[in-house]
Amino acid sequence: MATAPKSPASSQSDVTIELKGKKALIVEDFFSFRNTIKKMVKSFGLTDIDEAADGKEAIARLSQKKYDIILCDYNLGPGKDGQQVLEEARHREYIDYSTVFIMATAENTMDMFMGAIEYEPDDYMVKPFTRETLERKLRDWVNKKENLKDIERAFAKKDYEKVITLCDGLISGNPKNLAQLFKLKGEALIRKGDYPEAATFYEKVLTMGNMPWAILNLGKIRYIIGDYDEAKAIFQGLIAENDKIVSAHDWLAKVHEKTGNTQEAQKILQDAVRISPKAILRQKALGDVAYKNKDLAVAEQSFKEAVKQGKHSFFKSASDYTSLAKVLVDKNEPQEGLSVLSEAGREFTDSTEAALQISVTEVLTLKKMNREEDAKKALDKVSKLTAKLPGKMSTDVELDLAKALISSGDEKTGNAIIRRLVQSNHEDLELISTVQNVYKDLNIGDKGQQIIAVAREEVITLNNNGVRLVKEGNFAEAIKLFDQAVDNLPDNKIINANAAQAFIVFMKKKGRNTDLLKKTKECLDRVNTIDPAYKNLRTLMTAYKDLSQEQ
Amino acid sequence: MDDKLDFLDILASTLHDTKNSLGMLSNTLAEIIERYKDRDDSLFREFNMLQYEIKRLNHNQIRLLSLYKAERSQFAINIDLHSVSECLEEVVLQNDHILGSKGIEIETDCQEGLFWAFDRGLVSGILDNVLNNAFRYAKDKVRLSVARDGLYLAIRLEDNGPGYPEEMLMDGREGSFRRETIDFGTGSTGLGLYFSMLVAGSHVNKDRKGRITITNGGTLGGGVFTLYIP
Repeated sequence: MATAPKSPASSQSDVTIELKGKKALIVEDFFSFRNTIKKMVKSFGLTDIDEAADGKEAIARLSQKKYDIILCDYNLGPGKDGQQVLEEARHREYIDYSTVFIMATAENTMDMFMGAIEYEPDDYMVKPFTRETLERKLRDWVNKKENLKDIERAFAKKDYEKVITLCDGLISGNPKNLAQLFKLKGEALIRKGDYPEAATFYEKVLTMGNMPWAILNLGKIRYIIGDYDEAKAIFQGLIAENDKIVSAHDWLAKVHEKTGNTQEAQKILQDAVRISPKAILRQKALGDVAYKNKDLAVAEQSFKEAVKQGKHSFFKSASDYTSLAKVLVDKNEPQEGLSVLSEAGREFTDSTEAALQISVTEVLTLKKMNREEDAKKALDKVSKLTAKLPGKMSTDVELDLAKALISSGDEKTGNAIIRRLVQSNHEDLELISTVQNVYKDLNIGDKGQQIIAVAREEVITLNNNGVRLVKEGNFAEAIKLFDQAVDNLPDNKIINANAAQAFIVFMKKKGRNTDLLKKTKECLDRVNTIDPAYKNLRTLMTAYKDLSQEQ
Repeated sequence: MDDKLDFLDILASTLHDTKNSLGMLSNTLAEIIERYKDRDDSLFREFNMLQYEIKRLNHNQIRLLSLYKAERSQFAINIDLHSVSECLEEVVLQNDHILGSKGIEIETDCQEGLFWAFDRGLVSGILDNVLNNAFRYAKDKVRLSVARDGLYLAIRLEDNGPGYPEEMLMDGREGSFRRETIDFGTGSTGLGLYFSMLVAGSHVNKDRKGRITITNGGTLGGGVFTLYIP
């Protein structure tokens, strides 16, 4: 087992790795440090080296050029920090898994960034580091990443099957980036929707050591498949072992919210925010749950924090502002709410959806202030924006829009929006209860209840009829019914899944047909987009695959 | 004035600032040493001596900052699966210039392809510190070896120096730390060991906890430092 003593010469066994042609970006706010690092990097043979003095400049550079190596200081003075640079660069796809991203830090211990693997830097380096250490790190990482190029391409094409095969091939050779390959394989299994297989995989990984990310992913899988008790136990265990793993708090809060325990969810998020306040998504989640709990003080503080952090974050959104405005209205400070909204208007000038969301909230605010004329003007703006909107609205915006319309007297349009939302999600009890609250707020709770009940009943009957027709063997009628149903309710996962099932059963009995195969695929794709963990989606997909490959 | 700053916070931010200066010093010195590396004269050795002292200072700062974070409950441990040999090679690389300037040879013994779960930054920090100390204590040989010890990974650092002073040894009591060994007169604060213990202890796997031991003897007859990671 003994190996020869390692001298620096022999430890550079990766000399085959050529750093020369690589493109590097150095992000560091101190000029003298930046210069020192640049000199080091130059001495490794790199010639294409760019510099950035702060996060903003870094993003600008990254947007214009694809780098192989990024050396980024965590602490970049005011503005974005290194972590925010990483998050934004990944989201905008300026960098990918094969890019080497190394974060330089001032000391060993820092916040844990554990969540989706895309938010993790490849490595941390504690300052100061020697030239040799940096060279070694760069060579090691460039070498390690060499084998990720194919996996990267497969990931980009969403060919998870291939990602898994490629990972397996590499893992058997025990490469130095074993942990990263494990993470990628697990991620691919989850994205593919193969939850039992993914769980088995993480359990196997855990026999090699007690890695929190593997435990966290096990919990996530339990959450996705709706096994909330088990998910809760896993996240609680993780927190008991190491309460700095804030993502475990985030997930535990989600479990509590799903199971209706919003008070507990708020408490946990408040803990998490104490541990790691600099996380805009966490502040938003806390604001949302506190607002649900009618804890206006906490909601206000969280949304204010989200707005503040959003100034430098990729994750900023108009809803940070509109949520804050709603809280202020509820606190009887509508004037404050309006000024938050006008600030939002200045902040989001090039997004129709943002403008729409802001205007809708304006209508609601002005109504509360009894400024009917102004509310009317705002509503006109809303209709213009709605017509201009390129894509779909988010559910939250749609609900606010319905509320604004109904309160302005346009019950017909408002109720139609709600009807469609309910019919698209007729078994989503969380949404149904939110809708009920909208009607309650409008003081038409009873009427609303009736609208909701009728809308739901229609879908249930429709669905039941279709399922009955299939059972009776009346395929012609069943197919006609489902065909029409998915046309009317393309966002209803249950209708889509049952339609696909009817089509499949028919083709199994009577033989394939190209048109129906295409329709089946469309239904299944929609289910996969709406809810990849839908209960029998995998079975249906396999059945579809078998059918489409038949000779 | 009511908004009096907390002394600990002042201390921490001063440490940060000092660490930046040390970083500059260390990097500049490394460039100078690079220029002098072919000269085998006393100047070269003295520069390396300086580098050793700078590293010592830097380790002290890191330790203090980490303990400050622990005090503020901000101490986080980030466990992942790492190649053990890669981690050791990196630590050796950080030290063999300095040790080499004094004629101290580093021998490593680690199985390739061995993976273990630990916080790489913290563990390298401990090993870097112990190896840097060898500059002062080893005669001309240091041995870094890795072995599996039951359910633990044992990383051992041995030297052929005079060994740890009797009063620092832990009488075989695992994980205990004798406060009385802190001696401002000799400059041995034992803080390094205390910090190593803290880091080792924060590695937990099921009901097993990491620890360190220090003894004398071993294969080279000097001090033996062992870090056990579950």
